Amino acid sequence: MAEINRSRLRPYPIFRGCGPDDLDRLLSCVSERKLTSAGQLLFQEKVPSDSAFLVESGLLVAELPLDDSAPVEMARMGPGSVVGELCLITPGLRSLRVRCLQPSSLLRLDREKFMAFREAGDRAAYTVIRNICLTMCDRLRNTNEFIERELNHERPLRASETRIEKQSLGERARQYLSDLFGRKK
Amino acid sequence: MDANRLRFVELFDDFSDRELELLAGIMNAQRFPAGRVVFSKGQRATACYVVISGGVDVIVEGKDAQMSVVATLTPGQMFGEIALVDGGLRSATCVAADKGAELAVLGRAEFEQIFNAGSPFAFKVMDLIAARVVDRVRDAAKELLGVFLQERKSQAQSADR
Repeated sequence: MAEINRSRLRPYPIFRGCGPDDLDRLLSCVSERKLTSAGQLLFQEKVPSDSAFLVESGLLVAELPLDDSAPVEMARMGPGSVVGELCLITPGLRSLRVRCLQPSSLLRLDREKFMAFREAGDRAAYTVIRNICLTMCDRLRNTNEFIERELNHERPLRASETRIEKQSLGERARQYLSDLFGRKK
Repeated sequence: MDANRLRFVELFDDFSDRELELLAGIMNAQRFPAGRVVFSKGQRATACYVVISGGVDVIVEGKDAQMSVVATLTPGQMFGEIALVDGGLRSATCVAADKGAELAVLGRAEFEQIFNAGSPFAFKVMDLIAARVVDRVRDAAKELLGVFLQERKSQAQSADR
């Protein structure tokens, strides 16, 4: 197993702006997680979130399990993706279940250890928090526009939006939900 | 601005007197008469706001390009906080409501300055804003999921008939 060092954290946008010392400190929150066979579960939905994951290799799928039919695929996440990062800000339950489609290598960022950095007022932890917020704000802008436009006020689509016009409202909602969870466009 | 004006704001319940004073030191109080635009949709954001007194109408473009009030923000409520993080464009227009509004304004530049200086107080404000962003993400996800599941349910019912 390769050593976990700062160079393995650098590619992820949540660490943008962190210096070498910052990354070295945060390494104490990080451990490796391997999913060796396709279909293996990373986490189940509706369980408390205790960690975020950085995908180094492989392919994961986030799914919404349904009572009466097959689960619905919401997003696929490959190398460079970050999964479950909201728990680094506030605790909550996992909204989707995530399993691997291909054997995957991940870095696990432990919430409890990360919180200790936050509570100590560590700059690196807050750089991460701000980066997560930046990503989420960007996704929220798109999502809120959709909600405002089509769910609340029914403004007719502009010509530039006709690409998605043929899809049903529910399907478009699913796509926006998928984007909110980090689907790569 | 006077720290006492921030004391009743629920958002700042966890702030000590000293922290409220620091906050008041970087926030400005601004009065807006009824109907005055606080910011317009599409404008580059430079600050976030807390309603101290009066109210603020949130206005969006509705059906047939009609402008409609979708919410009225009341004392204690924060708005425009996403802009504090990303400095993006405003997604709605905010206008002082019938009785006007007194707002506490936190500028992005001031916030960036104390954040980059590693101020523990700035981190506390970041905690507050980050939690609100997560709440909004979770609310949006819930709403989208509701629409998606409702459509599936309707489709299943149609197929049964």
